[in-house]
Amino acid sequence: MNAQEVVAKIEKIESLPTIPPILKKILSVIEDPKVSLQKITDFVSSDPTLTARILKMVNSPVYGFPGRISSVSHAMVILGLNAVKGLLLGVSVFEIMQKSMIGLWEHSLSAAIFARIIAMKKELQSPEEISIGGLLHDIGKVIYIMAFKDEYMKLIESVESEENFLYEIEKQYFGITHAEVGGIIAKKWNFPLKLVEPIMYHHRPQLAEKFQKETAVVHLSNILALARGVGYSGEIFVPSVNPFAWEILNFKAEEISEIFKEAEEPITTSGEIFLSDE
Amino acid sequence: MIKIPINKAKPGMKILRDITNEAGMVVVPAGRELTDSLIDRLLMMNVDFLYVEGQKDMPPKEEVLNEIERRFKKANDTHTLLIKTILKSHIEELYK
Repeated sequence: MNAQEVVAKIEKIESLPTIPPILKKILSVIEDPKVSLQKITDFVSSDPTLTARILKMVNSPVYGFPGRISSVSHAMVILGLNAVKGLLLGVSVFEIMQKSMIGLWEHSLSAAIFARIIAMKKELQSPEEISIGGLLHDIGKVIYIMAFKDEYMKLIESVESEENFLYEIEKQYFGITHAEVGGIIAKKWNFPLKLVEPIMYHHRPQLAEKFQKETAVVHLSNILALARGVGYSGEIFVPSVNPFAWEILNFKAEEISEIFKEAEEPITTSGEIFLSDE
Repeated sequence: MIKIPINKAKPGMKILRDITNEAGMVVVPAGRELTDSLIDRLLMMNVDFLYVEGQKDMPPKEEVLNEIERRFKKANDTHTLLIKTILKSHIEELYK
């Protein structure tokens, strides 16, 4: 298959038969670049399941807020519009992740946790938004599952026998990796560049143009999540840290050790948040 | 002590940390034992997690360390190997 065909198919994602109706509705809301806080709040509040999931997430160990956030509008104020848009997408693909790729949700959650901790350590602006970058970094895998389920499942199975990285196998078969697919889609959904670049380049952080630090954070958080081994992302090997990303984050060994320590409790408890919801 | 979600709470478990409400007031002090009616009350107060006696279900340490070796099989640069070393000592700490 060539990359153009793949891109053409994923760009028509709204018309795919496998896309759940709620996701279709969410996309029509978040795609609008002029959508207001109020409109998103109203949209979420009109759906009890979405409301419950957003509130569970923002009150969960993933975000470490000391107090309880009891309303969607409060979450909006604290997290900001972009983070809530991303969160909305994240919690709505949860089901697809759970059904078709067991463990991807847990992997995504732990990447979100690592990303927030690193962003805070490096004193970057809006750690919540960067954390959403971590949550959504593998969104391209969900898109592949929706658009090319059988082929993609075969690729995932072949990781073990080929002893290779999934993203290398994707490149060979589709001509394009899940990271690029995710980036293209995030762009199409009018996500800010601050989310698009980390998703698009989480395997090649040296290519980020405007948001190098944010991209480096998501790159490293994926590696730490894979290293710690919570959940399952389709990869069986930890990819190497990109030297460029390592350099711009300028890490010392003690800091990495602190990050693992701080992440330990949230990554081992947060996987349960959504499982108890129905 | 372990932290459990409310849906894993069972009568007879001993609460090890005060449970507070949204305003920070202690609603159930540490030391009490859970009962069915107490669990119902906690559910009504939207308590999500609580700390009780017990040990986390952790796989054997050797198994965890072996899996780390397997996952890092393709790593051969200094930074990634450094992460591996740090992770292994982090795991050692967890089992102390």
